[in-house]
Amino acid sequence: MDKKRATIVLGVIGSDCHSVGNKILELYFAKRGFHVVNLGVMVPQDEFIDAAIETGARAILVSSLYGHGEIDCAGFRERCVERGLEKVVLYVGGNLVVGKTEPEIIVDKFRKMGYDRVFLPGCNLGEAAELLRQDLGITEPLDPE
Amino acid sequence: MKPAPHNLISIDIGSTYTKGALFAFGGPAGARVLKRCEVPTTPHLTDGFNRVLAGLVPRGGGAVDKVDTVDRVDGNPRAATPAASTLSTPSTVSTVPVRFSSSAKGGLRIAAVGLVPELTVKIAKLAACSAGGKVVRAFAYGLTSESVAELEALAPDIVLVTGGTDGGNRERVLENVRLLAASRLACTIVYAGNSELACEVRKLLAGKKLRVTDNVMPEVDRMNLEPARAEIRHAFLETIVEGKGLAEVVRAVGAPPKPTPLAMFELAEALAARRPRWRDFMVVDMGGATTDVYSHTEAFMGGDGAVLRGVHEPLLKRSVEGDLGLRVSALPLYEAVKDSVHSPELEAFVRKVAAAPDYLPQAPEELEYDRVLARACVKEAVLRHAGILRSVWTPTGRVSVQHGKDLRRVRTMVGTGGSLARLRDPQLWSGMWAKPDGEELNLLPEQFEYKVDAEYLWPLLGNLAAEFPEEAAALAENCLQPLSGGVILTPPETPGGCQRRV
Ligand code: B12
Repeated sequence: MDKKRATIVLGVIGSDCHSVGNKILELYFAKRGFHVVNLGVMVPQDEFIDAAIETGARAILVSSLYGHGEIDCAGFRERCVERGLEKVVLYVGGNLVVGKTEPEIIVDKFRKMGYDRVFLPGCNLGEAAELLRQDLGITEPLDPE
Repeated sequence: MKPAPHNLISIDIGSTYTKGALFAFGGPAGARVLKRCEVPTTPHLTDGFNRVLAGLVPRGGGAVDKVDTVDRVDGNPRAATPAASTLSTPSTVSTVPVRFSSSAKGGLRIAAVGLVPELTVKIAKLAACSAGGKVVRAFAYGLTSESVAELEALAPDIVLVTGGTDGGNRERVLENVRLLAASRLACTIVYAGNSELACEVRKLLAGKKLRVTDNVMPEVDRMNLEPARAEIRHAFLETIVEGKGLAEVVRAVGAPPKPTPLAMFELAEALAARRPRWRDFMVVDMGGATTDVYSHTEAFMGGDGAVLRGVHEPLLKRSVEGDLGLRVSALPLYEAVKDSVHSPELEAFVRKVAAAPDYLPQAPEELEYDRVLARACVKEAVLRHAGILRSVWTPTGRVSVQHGKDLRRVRTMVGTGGSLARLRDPQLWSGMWAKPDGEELNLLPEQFEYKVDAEYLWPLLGNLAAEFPEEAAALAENCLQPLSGGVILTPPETPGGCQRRV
């Protein structure tokens, strides 16, 4: 699989308008060789799926920063399946819950919702990109940082 | 030295009337209309066309710049009918250049195929409408054998196939193309989807009349309508000339036809380019069967921290409402608006005119029913054309999310079409802003002047707008009657009756 052709859809879910991290993710993943379709902030679940269908994206990267992640992100996997994206890789990241919660509990909660991988603030984007390469079955190495 | 005037004839073959006018462009008096002529459209389109032409061709050869007082009835929206002697003229050879448009025989019927309703399906519809077509049916996601059978039964003039960004979706788009390849469809197929599939599409559809062009949506949130429009225009020339009995006219006048709505589209472009006061305007063309709405204004301004979701609509947009019209579509119109206007008398009137589309009411109460219907019709058509601003509550407060096109800055509203010309109703827009309160704001024009194209010259000027934009635009502006008397219409300031900004 040629990595240039690996399209990923990116956006901040729900009514969340934190745009800085989203811009960083776009620049970073593009630099590493992915074709990034960035939907920006305040993106409803269906819009991620619409864009993934049209672009043939194989992964969707969801961000949630403002503390409502649990509500906004629930049911996303089911919706993807319903709309014909059974095989899409789903990542989620950001300040996923309000207040102090053990990271393992957060990760476990979002894994159960159907997200393949869960990232918390301060995560290493290099690792995330590498995991994405593997999850998409891309054999060649990513572009340098 | 002023250039010498030259004459031009423009004719529009409508579904009920064939109308035409003789113009003088370039003379010292500026662009002028010299003569108008109108006859019922004939089953053999050439007959009606020739009658109108015979009524318009200036006698004696040379260029004329004088209003012909014999055939032209000033201020009367019903144009002169050609003298009986010319009616029998089988065909007239015009010494004056002739341009013409047609919306007869169903107009340009397009079926749109796309993937996601809010993306390629929506953009395919915009492309079809802006090329002067009428979308008879739109299909989303995967076609099925049932939908293909439906397509075959509809027998559209063109199937516009879209789907996928460039380098995007392959499987579903190819599957749709395979199903079309196996169908009995004989019409032109315009492919404007994922451009990476162009080769495969050419192979699969080798047995069909196929035109392949650039993607209408090369990337999510980037629309590219022009190439698809151009292909539709070319296909229209073929379809109309071959299939709609216009070949004879084309041969006689030596010019290709345009779909009537495309002529209007080009006139709107000319006005925006040539007339300083025409930046933000709309045109409503209300007919018996359909109501067309055109808007020329930037779709999204992004003030007050508003976020646009969905497609960023084009500066010049056309929408067609096939279920809104005063005669043939009177019943579906009544269905759509009866929550706000209904009475047994009105319903009886609707049934009467739907059964007799040529009916012209004379009695005052019947004229009033027509006005009530027209007001509801334009309101509904403009509401469907307009976008919506929704308030979304976030932890910090309200954020506005816009879907569709913002029409709030529109300052001029033009009414055209037989019914609006006939009714000349200064109250046409009085009910437009009335709507129950809610969290949603319909992005309707906030204040505008209403003018009417009382002699129905706009489609005729549209035929000339691409070649003579300056003069067509000048005359289009000057021929309007200011129905609201120069007054700017604004929403009434009554509680609950108007919509405030969020
Ligand atoms: C700037 C800011 C704002 C600005 C945003 C301006 C803008 N245009 O972006 C404003 C003032 C508007 C704002 C508003 C609010 N904010 Co604020 N805001 C911040 C602040 C200070 C910085 C955010 C930022 O830009 N960070 C820098 C970027 C680079 O980091 P990041 O966003 O976390 O993204 C990185 C990672 O998370 C990760 N990542 C994110 N998503 C994903 C996805 C994947 C797949 C992967 C691999 C990685 C990944 O990678 C990103 C890039 O490195 C943070 C506090 C903080 N220090 O983080 C609070 C913070 C995010 N805000 C917070 C809150 C509560 C709000 C409000 C609700 C406040 C309110 N009640 O008024 C509103 C919400 C408004 C809304 N509708 O969204 C809280 C969230 C609490 C929670 N989740 O538990 C925070 C954490 C502050 C706090 N400690 O309380 N905020």
